[in-house]
Amino acid sequence: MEKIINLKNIKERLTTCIWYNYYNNYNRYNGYTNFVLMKKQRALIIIKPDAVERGLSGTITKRFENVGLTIIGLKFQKADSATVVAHYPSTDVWFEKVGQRTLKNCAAKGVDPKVVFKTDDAVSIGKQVKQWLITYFQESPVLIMAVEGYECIEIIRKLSGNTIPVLAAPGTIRGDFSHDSIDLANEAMRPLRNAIHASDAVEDGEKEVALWFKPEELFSYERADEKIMFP
Amino acid sequence: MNLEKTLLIIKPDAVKRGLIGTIIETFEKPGLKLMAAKMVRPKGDVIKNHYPGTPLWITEMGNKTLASFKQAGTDVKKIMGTDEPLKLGTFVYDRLVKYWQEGPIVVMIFEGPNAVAVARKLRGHTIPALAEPGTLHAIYSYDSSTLSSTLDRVVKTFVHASGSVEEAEREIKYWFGKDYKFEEYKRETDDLYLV
Repeated sequence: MEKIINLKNIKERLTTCIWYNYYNNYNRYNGYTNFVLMKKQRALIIIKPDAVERGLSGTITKRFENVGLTIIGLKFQKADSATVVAHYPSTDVWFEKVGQRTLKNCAAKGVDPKVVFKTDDAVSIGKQVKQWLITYFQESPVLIMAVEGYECIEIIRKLSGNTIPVLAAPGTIRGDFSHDSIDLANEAMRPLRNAIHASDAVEDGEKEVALWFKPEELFSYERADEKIMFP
Repeated sequence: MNLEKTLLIIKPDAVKRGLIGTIIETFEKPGLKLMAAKMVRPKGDVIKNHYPGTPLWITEMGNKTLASFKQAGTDVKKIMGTDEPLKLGTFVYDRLVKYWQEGPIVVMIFEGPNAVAVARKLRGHTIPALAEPGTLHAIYSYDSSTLSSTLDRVVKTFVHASGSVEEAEREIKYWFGKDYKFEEYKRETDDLYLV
């Protein structure tokens, strides 16, 4: 579908396109079918065990379908260990970041990290947190979906809400279906139970879909309402 | 505790209408437990073999078609070119396979006490126009035998639900393999109704 756009002509073609659209919508299609400025993005969405166990898989999936995103891949199964391990980064930079964040939370709560984690080394703490995440992911089967749409990443971020449920706005998935907090999670030594995973950067979306789905598990098709939404 | 498993399929028209979540939700709400799901786009043969496909079964399908034409008061011979059940059944069978191939489908397994009956009840009558109010087929479609036959297609029965425990067993094996490993987990309703 997508064609590489000649940047030199972009302004001219855009002007023409708008003019055609104004003058006669159909002409734009007859003459400029290859004029695609915007490419669809892909994102990975996983309905996590807490939401699955509460019977919210369908209800949450609906939210993404309602805005017009296309589900191009779907499977419900226990996440296999290798995939979950690869899903989260395994670099010291990432461990350090996660560890530092945890240390900061401990300090704010006046908790001694040595008591909780048997260490105050950020990288080691980051590694322990990753293990928590893996355990959480594998608590039950999960609903894994690949979704596609224009500005898909931004849209699913908006629909999902803040990753910390207690801070997520009403109307967002996390705001409406969970109210877990960092403090509660730290007290219980577990990760935040925040109902869903949703890719949060364009590169992550492509990467995560490729990690969780084989090419033959993805299907492209046109939604019934696609031409109405994007004439 | 006698838990049953049942097979449900969301067909291409429902997928394209963005009804996957709505349909999953309908079966999740009473407490049925999602046990497996996958989006697939099977070839004609795979769809064909989902059905028993025996002459007896085809004849029965022909008879059902005859009955729905009679109910609608339309002349089956004039529209379908035949009123012979086996021929009519074969004709419908081919169109059915064509319908299933309009796009990807979602095949799912749900588990629960009387799962087969519970799922069938929520799905409603096979023909949407005859489905009881509140059922999926009634809420999301007006399709009928008369409408579909004038358009040379089958009735778009967009949710398949196993008709009996035996049918469910056969269909589950067919779509997921006889050795499929189900992962146990607990739904929030389990401790309220299953202990």
